Amino acid sequence: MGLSIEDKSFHIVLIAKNSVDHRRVLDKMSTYASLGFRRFIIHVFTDVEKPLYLENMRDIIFNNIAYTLILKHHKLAGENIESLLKQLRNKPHEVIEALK
Amino acid sequence: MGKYQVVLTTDRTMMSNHHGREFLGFLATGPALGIPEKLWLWLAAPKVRVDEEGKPVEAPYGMRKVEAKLIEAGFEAAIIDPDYIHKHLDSMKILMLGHHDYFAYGPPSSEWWMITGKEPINRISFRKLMESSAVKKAKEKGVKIIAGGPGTWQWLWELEYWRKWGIDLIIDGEVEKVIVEIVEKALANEPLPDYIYVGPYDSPSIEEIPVIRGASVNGLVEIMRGCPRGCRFCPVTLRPLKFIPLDMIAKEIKVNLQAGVKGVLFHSEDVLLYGAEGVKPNPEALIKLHKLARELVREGPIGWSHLTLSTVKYTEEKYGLISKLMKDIILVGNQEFMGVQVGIETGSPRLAKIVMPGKAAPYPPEKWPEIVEDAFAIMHENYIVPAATIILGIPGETIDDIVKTAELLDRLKPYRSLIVPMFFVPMGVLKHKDWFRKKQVKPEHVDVLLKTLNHSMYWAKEMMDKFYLKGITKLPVRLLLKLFIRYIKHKVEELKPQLEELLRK
Repeated sequence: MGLSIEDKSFHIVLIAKNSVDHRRVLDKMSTYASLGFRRFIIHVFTDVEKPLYLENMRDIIFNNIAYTLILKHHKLAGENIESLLKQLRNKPHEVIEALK
Repeated sequence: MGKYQVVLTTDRTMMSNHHGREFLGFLATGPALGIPEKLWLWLAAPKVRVDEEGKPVEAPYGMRKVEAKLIEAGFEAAIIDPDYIHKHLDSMKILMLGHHDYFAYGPPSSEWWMITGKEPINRISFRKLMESSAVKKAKEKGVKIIAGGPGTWQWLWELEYWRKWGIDLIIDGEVEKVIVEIVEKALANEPLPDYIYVGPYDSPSIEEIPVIRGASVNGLVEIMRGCPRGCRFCPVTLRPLKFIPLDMIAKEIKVNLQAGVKGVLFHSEDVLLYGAEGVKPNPEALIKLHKLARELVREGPIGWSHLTLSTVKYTEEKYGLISKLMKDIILVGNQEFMGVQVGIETGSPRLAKIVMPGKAAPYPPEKWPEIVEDAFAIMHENYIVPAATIILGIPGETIDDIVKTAELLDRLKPYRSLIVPMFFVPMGVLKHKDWFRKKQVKPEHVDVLLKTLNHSMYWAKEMMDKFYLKGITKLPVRLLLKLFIRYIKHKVEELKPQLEELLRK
């Protein structure tokens, strides 16, 4: 169970290998915000350990002021992605490979 | 043996009442200059009185709000002075940190750091806290560390420290709606996200904001949140605007008085907009607010945290309200003056129009320099002493903009005030912009820096001679400050010829 601030969120599953194209992620957020979403959770799948992976997320965080934003770290592995996607089956989500 | 599951703390530079003078707290944003570090820290942030558990009598207001929210929800939570955390190691499950400026990246720390090349005291002090044996032991026994407050964004530039100190969650924004649940999850050892930004949609309602349970530093009481002006560099303007009702304000003043704090310091981005519709003040609401405060604090001081200069001008010229409030309600008894923070930011109408078009309202931004000058004159006549900021290096700034700021500074010479230069730090809507870098320092910037320094030195001395830090108990602080001013004057004279080169190094 997540926090209640996570309810009605849009989930972005971000496959982040090296640097991240923050603009693409922000554009997705704007698109879904226009559909009424005000909360976003970014599930970051990466090989970079936490919290160092946030260096690649900094531009996303600093460019967002309008929406609640939650970041979660996941180890980059096929089974981890699969498991999360199963959990998100009935929740609004999109998988993005926003690599530069 | 401690009893608190949740301990809230911060380092000494925040956990202090700054000798009852908030302005002195700004010394902690610089490095120790001309005097030993310990003495500098004492000058900026002396230790606060604590009870036998290490709970401070006065503590930062934002932390008091979180503490109140957690107590209200039934947790054993308390703010603990940084010197007493070890007393709670056996009971502590969560350590919460709050700060305005964790790593000295905010203004004016970053410019002190740039100018002097030395690490500011607030950064050193916070690092010492995190590397203290008490915090290390807490982490070793599995205590979860959650950091919040206005300086939260700085952690994103210090990820190595984040990792080294084992921070579990960074939370940015107004936390009243979410903090209880986060603590529940942390206590149940459920996974927490790494980072949360609470957006305007999740901003708490008035009913969700608790009344503080312990006294705040120098009696600070929030009277409104948010700001309607929409300046692009300011994060506060992003929050939905809300006014705290008078009964809640009264309750908080009483909490402070019961703890022995003598006065009240109203906190708002623009105190004169309490109860206002848009940017035009509401005289009735302001008079009620101040009468309430005077009734409660009796002879004690009433202070304002921040004002907007256009509101000062409008309020006085339209209603004569500044002089009425000052003469009839505030400057009675022992109070001889009031210090307040204001933002000039620029003397350039062009830049004002681009970056802060709302700051001049209800006047047009083209009139900004006149608004500043008129407001300074009004404050001078009414014994309001502004600590004013100007921002150098705002994105898009030209030489002409800097010259206009210098010209405005010349016109402000006759008015009692402190003027502090700041270099642009990306915040608010501009937080994705680049920082002002050393290599961008121009001779015109140096000219502005020297003008502000001379202005502030002159008026600081005058104020200390006349009414700041009066009385025998404040004598050591006054003497040290005077020595410091003399040292800075001497140092600047000595370095003047190569100042530009030094800044660019």
